[in-house]
Amino acid sequence: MASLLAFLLFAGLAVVCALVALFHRSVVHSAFALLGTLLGVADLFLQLGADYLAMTQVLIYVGGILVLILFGLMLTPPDRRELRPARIFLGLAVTGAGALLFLTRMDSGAWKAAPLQELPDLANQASPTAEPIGLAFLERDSWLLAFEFASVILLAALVGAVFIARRRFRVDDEGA
Amino acid sequence: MPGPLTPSDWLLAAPLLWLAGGVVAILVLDAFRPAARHEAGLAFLALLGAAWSLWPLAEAAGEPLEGIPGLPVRAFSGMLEASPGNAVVGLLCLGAAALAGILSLRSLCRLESGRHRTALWTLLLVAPAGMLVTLASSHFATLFLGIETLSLPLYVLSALRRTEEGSVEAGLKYFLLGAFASGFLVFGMALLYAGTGRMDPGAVTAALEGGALARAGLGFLYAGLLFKLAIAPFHLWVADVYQGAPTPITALMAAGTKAAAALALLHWAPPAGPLGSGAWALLACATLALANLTALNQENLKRILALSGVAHAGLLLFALAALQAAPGSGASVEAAVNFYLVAYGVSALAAFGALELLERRAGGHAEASALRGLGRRFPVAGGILALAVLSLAGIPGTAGFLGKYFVFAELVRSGEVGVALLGILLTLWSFAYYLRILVVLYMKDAAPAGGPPAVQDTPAAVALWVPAVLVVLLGVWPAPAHLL
Repeated sequence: MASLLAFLLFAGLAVVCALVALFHRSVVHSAFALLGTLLGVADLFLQLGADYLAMTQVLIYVGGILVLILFGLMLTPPDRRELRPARIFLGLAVTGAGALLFLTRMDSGAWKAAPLQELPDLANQASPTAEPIGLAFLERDSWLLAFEFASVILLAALVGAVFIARRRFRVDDEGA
Repeated sequence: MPGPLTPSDWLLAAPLLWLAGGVVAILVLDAFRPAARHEAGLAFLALLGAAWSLWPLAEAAGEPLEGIPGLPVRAFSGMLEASPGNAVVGLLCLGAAALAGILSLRSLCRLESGRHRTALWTLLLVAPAGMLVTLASSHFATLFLGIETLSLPLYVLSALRRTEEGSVEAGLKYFLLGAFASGFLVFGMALLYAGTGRMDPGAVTAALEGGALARAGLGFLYAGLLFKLAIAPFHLWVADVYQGAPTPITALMAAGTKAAAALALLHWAPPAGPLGSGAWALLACATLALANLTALNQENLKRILALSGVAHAGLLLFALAALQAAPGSGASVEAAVNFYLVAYGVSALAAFGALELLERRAGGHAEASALRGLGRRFPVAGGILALAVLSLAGIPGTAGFLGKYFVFAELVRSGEVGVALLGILLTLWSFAYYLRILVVLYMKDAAPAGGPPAVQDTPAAVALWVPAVLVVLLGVWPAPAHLL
């Protein structure tokens, strides 16, 4: 019972905050609303027994990426041209049509990923997941290649970011 | 207990290790000896090493390799899977990166007094690593990582001329649209996993039998892949990005990205099922028609060649249609696709490479008006561009003709004669703009030379002969690449 209540609370928080993030007029408020969404998702991870993932979500998304977004927003001048009524109407129409389609089809059984069960109280019985995740990253049979190769992308992203952000130097002495 | 790496693992990981090692070596040496100009040498060493370690797989056509259980080689418990034909396409990707590097030696390397050499060469090594992973991917993780690893360096490399608006615009446009496409790809993977519980290509089969959730995921997955391949509704970025990016980088994108994305699509294509061959054939025809129509009134040769690339990608979908129509034809369709990709790749490399040299003579412009008559003034570069254009058009005696021939032959063999005829007609339509390039190069009076004289670029002029010779060689003697 308690876990169901917690689920409803945090899932509701995630959904409501996501809606606020979408529809609020001020982007800074939207960014703050994202905080609730990310925390709500972190709780969902926790309730599924993924403690390590939940902590990482809080540390990296809430602590790192959200702060980065806020800094980016505060350093960017606002653009009001996006709020034309025709655009908003078109967006609402497309979204509404999609939602309608989903609502009419969602009971057909085809959309259900897995049968909805009584929520197991995973959080209280699960063991810590940090160790299995760490081992899985370094095991040949699971995620070794993906884990190692992800570092290549990050290195490339770092090099690219340094290049883009570098000061412009005087006109090149290229031949052409 | 985790098992040690097997010979198959090492075989498929070795090229990646060479490339990643090259990146690290360049960065470390640059940190300690910034004045020494070692980047190019290290990068070519890494590319050569990667090609050398990929060679045994490319060579092993019929017989299994020593110590490796079977072909295609599966590594890391099915994360990667590559056949000898895939390895040949992988060699093409490495070659494309090498050619892009050689073409940059006297131009891009000197931008902003050569301060960006490190970024240029490291990213030129990371991009082919991503291509190799993408074309061998047989798991959602490797597919996504591969596509991201090949895209990220290209976003940056497209914007390498930071002082030119077109280049920056190309980079930004490619980045934004590419980020959306990646979003589609990951969302599709998530839905597929939720619906089927699998992360290997078997998820596609399971999704076709499964519910709407998994099918929606399949749609998103293909949208992401078709974006990278630039198929009809997702092709709008190509002309702008190819035009704005520096031409050596365009050559790498045209040959490498396309090949990697195409092989990924083939790996993740559904087996014959409810989708049917009609959907792929329709997409192919729409892509060919749209690309041809758009290319007809373009003034910029890079845009024309970019749209020709779109048309070529569309033609590739006919191979998927053939696979759908005749389920048992997997091996021969894959061979046709591999050959087609190599044929298009070498033609595109020769075309963009020669265009880069001509562009420099025309003061950095690729407009038809700036390039007119240059074919007669610079016979070697002009001749190679003309040869590549003939190959792209599909004139017999060139690699491009055989590539198209093998694909259409598969289509006819699968019983889709009508579709094949339609495809051939659409291909003939494309002659109009290919011929226009030849008219611009040879039948117009030369424009007065503008801008400062171009530097002599011997390495580029010599390296350009390699794809040019391959265009002819594969056109008359396809056995080496088609034996798989």
